[in-house]
Amino acid sequence: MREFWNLFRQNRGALAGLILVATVSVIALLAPLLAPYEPSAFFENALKLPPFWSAGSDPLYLLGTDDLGRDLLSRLIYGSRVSLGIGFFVVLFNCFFGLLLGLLAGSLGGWIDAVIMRLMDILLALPSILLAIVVVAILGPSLINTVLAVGIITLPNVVRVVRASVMVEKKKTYVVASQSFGANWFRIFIINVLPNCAAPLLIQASFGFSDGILNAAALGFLGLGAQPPIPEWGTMLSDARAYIESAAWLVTLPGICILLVVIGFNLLGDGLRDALDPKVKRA
Amino acid sequence: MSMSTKLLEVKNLSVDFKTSSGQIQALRDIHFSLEQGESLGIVGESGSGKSVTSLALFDLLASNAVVRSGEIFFAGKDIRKMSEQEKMKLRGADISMIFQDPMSSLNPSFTVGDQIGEVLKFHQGLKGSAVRARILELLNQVGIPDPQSRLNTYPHELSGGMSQRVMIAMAIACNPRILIADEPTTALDVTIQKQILSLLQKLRIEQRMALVLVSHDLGVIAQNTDRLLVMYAGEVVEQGRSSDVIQSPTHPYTEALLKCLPGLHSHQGKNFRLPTIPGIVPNLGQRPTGCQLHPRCPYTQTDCKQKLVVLEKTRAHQAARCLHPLNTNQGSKK
Repeated sequence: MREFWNLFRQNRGALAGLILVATVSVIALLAPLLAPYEPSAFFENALKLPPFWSAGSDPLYLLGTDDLGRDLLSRLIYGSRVSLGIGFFVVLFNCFFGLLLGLLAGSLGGWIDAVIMRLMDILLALPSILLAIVVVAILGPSLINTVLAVGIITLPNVVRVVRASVMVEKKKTYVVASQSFGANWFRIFIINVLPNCAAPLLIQASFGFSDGILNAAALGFLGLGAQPPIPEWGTMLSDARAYIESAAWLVTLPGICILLVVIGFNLLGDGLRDALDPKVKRA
Repeated sequence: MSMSTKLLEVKNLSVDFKTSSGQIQALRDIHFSLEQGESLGIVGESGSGKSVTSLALFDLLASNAVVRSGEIFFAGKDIRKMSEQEKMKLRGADISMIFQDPMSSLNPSFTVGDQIGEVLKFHQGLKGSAVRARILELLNQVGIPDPQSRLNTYPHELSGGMSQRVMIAMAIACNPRILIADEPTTALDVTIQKQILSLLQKLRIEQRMALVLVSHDLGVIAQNTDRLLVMYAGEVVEQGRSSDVIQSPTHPYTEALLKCLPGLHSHQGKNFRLPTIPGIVPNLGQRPTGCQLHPRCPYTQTDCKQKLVVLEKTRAHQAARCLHPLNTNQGSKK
């Protein structure tokens, strides 16, 4: 653990990613304390106010207001909750089903492996955003369905990672050894093998977070994700599209938020991989 | 001796492996027995079927293995006819095994204490402080200094010798009646090798368990076993008392193996080169006809190339799979 932290610390990008992710997480957790207003509070006398650095701004609304007079800063702060929440549940969904399917495929092999992996290949073969649109079209647009749709389209990656590491691990002597001590399938794979597959899964989970957020924002932008008035960054982006000429900050600021969070998780994932995977150490 | 007193009896065991290039015969007609407290050596080159034999005793062969014939009796019960439940109870409790590479046979994610404890909890139902006490006792027994502090170490923090000791502690945790040591010292350096072997001997005597020592090193086997089996190409080519077999091998292969040992040629002069056995172990997919050794044997005669050879008694406590055995009392040759 200490060795891991030392390796991780030397990677500046990873550290930056960690700080970004930690900051956004704190903001999301403390949203009600940090946000000056309720995210859906309207101020009729303050429509499309610009942010503090341009002329005509109002210090009451630091980052300006949108076309309905809602405080942009508050909406962005609450938006971090929605985005991180989506990321978290997508990763949770992925980890649960990914582990289950990957473990079954990797440990049992044979036709079970073939069926699971061909299903995953089918999911991979379809363009992911199209697939997500299909899922949402069937289930109807809502926050929960967004999570489901994004979870399904990113599932194959996780299944593949888990299956591959289970297959590597099961060839090792300690698996034969635990068989020779009378362990059954459950004990061998769930108790003994699974903890050894944690590192690649952790890395995948970190990338899964950013993938999830990005895809959810894309769905939101298409109007198929979180529905107004939920302050989802992708949805905000799409709502403000009409004002890109007159009130550019309404489009830019949510976009920057998405960018920062996604970069943060990607850097974190890269750093984790460098620190946990001995093969790319000191590359 | 009557059958019931035998702890382990392997009869006519033949195992095939299904491969993409057809079915290969990995074990042919293996036959041996083991009595309580006895130590048996199994020696042979790589690919001679030593490890397959030891895994077969657990009924833990790879999924592409087919047991063509044979029975394995443990205390009179055929292991292969037991239910999966019965086999799991047997493994680790009555028969246990230690492996060639101690570093990879321990699970990297768990501490030493956790891993030994798991075996105790699973087989003996020990709980709480009883587990801890027993683990400490075991670590002490296998000669690990300062067992208290070793409980919470992870396998990667241990040396090879220490890992093997931990593995041995796990293997003897439930007082098994048979301990199979599959090349237990191959991955260790020579000084540690000696320590581990004498530890195994000490435990065998203390626990009155039978020890099966598998090795490619005839020297190791000779010093540590009562009886030995010499394996070649999946067959037992010679068996007998270790001291007899070493002193007067009756199978040409055993003789050749002995000649390859350094130390037996101490005064051979400066330009002496250690002999090797010419050729390689036959590809098990394309076995030679007749005696499996005939392409490599210096004594090959014409009948060796065709006749099927069986294991036959050559001397009082010795048997060999050879048509023209060496060193027999009749002195048929040499």
